[in-house]
Amino acid sequence: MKKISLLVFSAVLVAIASCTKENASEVTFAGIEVEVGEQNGSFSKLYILNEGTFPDESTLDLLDFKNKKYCTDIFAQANPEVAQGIGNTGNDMAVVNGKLWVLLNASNQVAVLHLPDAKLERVLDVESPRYIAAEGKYAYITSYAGAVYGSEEMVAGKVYRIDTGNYETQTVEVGYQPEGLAVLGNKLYVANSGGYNWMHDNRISVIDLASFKLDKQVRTPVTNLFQMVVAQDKVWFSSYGESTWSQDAEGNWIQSVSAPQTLVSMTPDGKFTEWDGVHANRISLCGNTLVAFGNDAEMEGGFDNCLYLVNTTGTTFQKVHFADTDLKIVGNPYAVLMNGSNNDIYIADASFTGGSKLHCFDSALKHKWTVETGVGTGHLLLQ
Amino acid sequence: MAQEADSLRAARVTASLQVAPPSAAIAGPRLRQAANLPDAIRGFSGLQLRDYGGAGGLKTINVRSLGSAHTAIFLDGIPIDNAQNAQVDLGRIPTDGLEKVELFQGQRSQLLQTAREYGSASALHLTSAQPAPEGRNGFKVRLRGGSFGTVSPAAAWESRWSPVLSSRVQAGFTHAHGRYPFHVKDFRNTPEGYKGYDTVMVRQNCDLMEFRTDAHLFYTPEGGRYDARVSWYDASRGIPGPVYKQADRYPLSDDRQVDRNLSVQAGGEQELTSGLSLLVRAKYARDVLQYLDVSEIDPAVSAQWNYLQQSGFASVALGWKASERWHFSGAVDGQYEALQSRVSARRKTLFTAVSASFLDGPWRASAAAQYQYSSGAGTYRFLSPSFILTWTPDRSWEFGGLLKRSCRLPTFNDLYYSQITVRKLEPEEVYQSAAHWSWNRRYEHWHFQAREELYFNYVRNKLIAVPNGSLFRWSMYNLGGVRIFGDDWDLTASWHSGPTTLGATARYTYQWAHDTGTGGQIPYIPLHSANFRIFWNQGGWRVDLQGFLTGERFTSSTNRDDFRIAPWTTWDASLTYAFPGTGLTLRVQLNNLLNANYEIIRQYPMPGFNAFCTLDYLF
Repeated sequence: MKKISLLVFSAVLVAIASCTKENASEVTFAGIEVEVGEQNGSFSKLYILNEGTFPDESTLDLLDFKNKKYCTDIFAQANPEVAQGIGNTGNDMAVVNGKLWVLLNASNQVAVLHLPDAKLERVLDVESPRYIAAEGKYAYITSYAGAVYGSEEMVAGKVYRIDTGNYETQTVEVGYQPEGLAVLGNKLYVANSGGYNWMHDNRISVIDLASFKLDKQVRTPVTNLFQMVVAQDKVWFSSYGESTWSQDAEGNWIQSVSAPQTLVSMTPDGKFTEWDGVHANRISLCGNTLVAFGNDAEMEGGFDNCLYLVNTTGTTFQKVHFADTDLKIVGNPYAVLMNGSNNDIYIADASFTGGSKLHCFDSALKHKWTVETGVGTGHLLLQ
Repeated sequence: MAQEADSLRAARVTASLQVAPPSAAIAGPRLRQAANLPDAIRGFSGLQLRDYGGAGGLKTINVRSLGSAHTAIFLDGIPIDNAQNAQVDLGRIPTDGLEKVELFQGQRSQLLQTAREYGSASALHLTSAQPAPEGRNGFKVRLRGGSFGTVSPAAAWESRWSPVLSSRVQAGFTHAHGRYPFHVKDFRNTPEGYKGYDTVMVRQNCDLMEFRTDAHLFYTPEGGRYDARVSWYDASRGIPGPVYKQADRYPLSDDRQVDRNLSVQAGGEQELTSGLSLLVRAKYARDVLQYLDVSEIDPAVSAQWNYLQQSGFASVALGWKASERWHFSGAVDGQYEALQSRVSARRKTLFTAVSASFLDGPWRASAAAQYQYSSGAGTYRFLSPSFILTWTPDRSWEFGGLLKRSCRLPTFNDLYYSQITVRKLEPEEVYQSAAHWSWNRRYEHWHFQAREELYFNYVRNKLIAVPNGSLFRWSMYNLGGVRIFGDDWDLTASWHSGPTTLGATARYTYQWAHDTGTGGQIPYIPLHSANFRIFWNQGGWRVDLQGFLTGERFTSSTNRDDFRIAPWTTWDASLTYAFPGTGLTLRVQLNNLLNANYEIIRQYPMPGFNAFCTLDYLF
C-alpha cells in the first residue's frame, strides 16, 4: 500500500541542466572503461543519480568523459564508513555554491557533498524532499512534510529555505505535495500536485523571496502539477495528467486516463498558455530549448513515447516519435538532459528490477553510445 | 518421500490408493512440535521459503521456482485462497491440530477430490488430526515462550461422543514484542585499505498479538466420513517494513495491520453402491484486513485501508471404481470471490474435472483434465490436462513421471490495483514435466531411503508490473517467461535398535531458473540449496540438529554484483524430553546457533540466535 504509492509517486524531476562549466579536478574513482567516443562537448563529468527501488538504496554514479570511465556508487567509494550509503529514493540533485546537494526522499535527508571528491560534508534533515532550486546564497527545497497517500487528513507541503553558508533553515507552507520549483524575479514559484489527495491540486504557490512569505496561490487550468523551469521570463510547468475511476461492463472498478500529460507556460501576471500537443511530464531546459518526453497515446491506452523540443522564444515545438528514430531503443524513458555545448541528448532508460541504461544521441538524434547504470536512473547533472 | 521412520504413523485408509505419492511429507509429533507450518516444511526439497522475518512477518512458499501463486493450499481438501494477491500467509497456520502435511507435484491423485485440486502446478495438503478411534476425552495444554518476548499458550480438547462422532476444540494466543538486533554492514577495498561499517540496529514495530480458535466435528459412519469446522483468527501486528536509511529522529515504519478471518467449512465422503462414491465440500470465508499507513514524520497523520474479502466454495465429486484396474471420477466446483475496498471487484469461477486411473500391479497411471471458466474479473477459459505415471517394480524401487499444464489467473491486485488503463491480461501458464525415482530398503537395524526428482518447467505469459511509457504509472503485463531445470535429492539413513534411533537426512536442490528475456537466474532463487538433519532418539529423549544452506541469489534477473544476496547458513538444535508416565513433554529449541546475520528477502533482516521453550501437557 505504501509501496504502491511510492512507486506511483517516486517520479522525479530531471536535474535542471546547469549549462555552465567548472574546472575538472584530478580526483579519480574506481570505474570501468566505457566507449563514449571523443565528442562529448565541453563538460567533463556527468553525475547520475539512481533512485533504487524502495527499499534498496540510491546510488550516485559518475561518467567521467575525460578518462572514459563509468564509476559506480561514488558516494560509497568516497565515504565507505557512512552506514547505509547515501540514502533512499534520491529525488533530485543540484550543484549549489560548488557543492552537490542530493535529495533523499525516503530517508528524509539531504546529503551535501564536497566536489569533486564526493566526500559527505553535511547531512540535513528535510522532511521527504522532492526538488531543489538555488538562488543567491539559498537553496530552496520542496517537501511533502509528512503527508500520507490516501489519508483523510490533507497535509499541506512546505518549502525549505536553507542558507548554504550556515545551513540555517526556514520553512513556509505551500499547496499539497509540492513538486517542481523555480525562481523568477523576486518570486519563487512552486508546482503543487496534490497527488496524495483524492482531489488533486491545481495551484502554483508564489513565495516572495525578500520576506520568504507566501504571496499567493494561483489557480492554473490544469491539475496535478509536476515539474517546473523558468525561461524567457515565464514559468513553464508540466502536469502528470489525471486518471479517473469508472465501472466496467462487469461492474468492476477500473482506473483510466482522463486528462493527458501537458505543458503549460505562465507569465508573472498570471497569463497561461497551454501547449496543446505536448504530452510530456518530464521537462528540462537547455538554453532556449525545453526538452521533454511523454506518452502521446496515453489517452487511448497505448504507447507512443515522444520527445518534444520546445522553442521557448516562440510558439513552435518539434515532436519526434521514439519509434521513428534511434530513440526506439529506449524502453522506459525516465530522465532527459541536453548538453548545451554540443546539443547531445542523454536519456535514461530506467529499469526498476535490474540495471538501467543511459543512452546518448546527437542533435540529429543519431545514437552515439550507451552505458549501463544502476536501478531506476532518474536524474542527470553535467559538470 | 520424506517421512522418517521415527515419525511414521499409519495413515488412515483413504478413499482410494494414490497414483503418485507426495514428493515430500511430514507427519506426527515432528509436525505438531513445529512453531508454525513454514517451520515444519522448510526442509522440503525443491521448496524455497520466503520469510520477511520476525514474529509476524509474512511467510510464503515457492515450489520449484514457479512463484507462490502456483502452489494451491488445501486444508482437509478445501482450498485456502487470497483473491487479492494470491499470497497465503502460512505463518498463521499452527501445526498442533494437524495430522500430516504433504506436498504434491502436479496434484494429489486419489479417486475423490474437488475439481480445484487438478488446476495448480503443485499442491500443499494439510490434513487435520482426528481424535483416535480408541481414544477417550482428552485435554492438551501447550505453553510456549522465548525470544522476541513470545508468550503463547494454547489448549485443545478432544472428545469422543460415540464410536462415530468426535470433536476437537482448540484455542491459542500469541503475544510478542518482536524486537531483535541485527547488523547492517558493508565493507569494501578502497585505496586507503579495507573500509566499511558494521552497525547494530534493533528491528522495531514488529509486535504481534494473535488469537485463534477452531472447533472441528468429525462423523465417521460405516463407509463414510464427514467433518465440519469453524475457525476464527484475530490478529494485530506492527508492520516493520524494510530496513533503509532513515533520519535518526524518525522510525522506519509505524504501520499496523489488523486481520480478522472467519471460515466455516464442511465436507463429506460416502461410499454408495456398486463401486460408486460421492464427495461434497463447501466453504465460506470472510477476511477483514485493515492496514494503517502511518506517516513516519507525523504519527498523527495516517491513511486507513480496509479490505473485505469474501469467498464461497462448493464442490461435488463422483468416483466410480469400474473394476480393480479402472477408476473414473468427475467433479464440479463453483467458487465466488469478492473484494470490497475503496473500490470493489468480484469473480465467479466454475471448475470441472474428469480423471481416469489405471491400477495394475506395479503400474499406476492417471490422466486428468480440468477446465475452468471464470467471469466477473475478466473472462477466462483454461484447460489444465495432466498425466501421472508410477511404476513400482518391487518393494524397494519406485519410478514416476508427471506432465501437466496449469495456470494462475491475474489477481484482483494485478487487474485493478496495480495498473491504470486496464488491459486484457492472460493467465500465467506453467508447463511441467518431471521424473523421479526412489529407493527404500531395510537391512536389520538400518533403514535407507533415497529419492531424486528431475524436472523441467516452463512459465509463459508471466504477470509482471512494468512502469509503462508514462513513467509514473505502472501497468501489469504478460511479459516473458522462465525456463526452470531442477534436480532434487533426498537421502535418509537411520539406525534403530531397542530404545535407540539415530538418523541423518540430507537434501539438496539444484534450480536453474532463467528468465527468457535477460537470460539470468530469476530473483531470489538460489542455484544451490541444501539442508541436513541429524537426530537421536533415546528413550524419552530426542535431539535434533538441523542446518540450512542457501547459495547466492540475486534480487534481479540481471545477475550483477550489486543485486547479489550473499549465501547464508543457519543451524538449529532442539532437545525434547517426554517425562515418563506424566503426559508432560518439554522441548527446547535453539535457532540460528551461530548467530548468522542473513536476509531471505532483501532489506528484511532475519533474527540472529533465538530460543524457545515449549511445554506440552496431555491429560
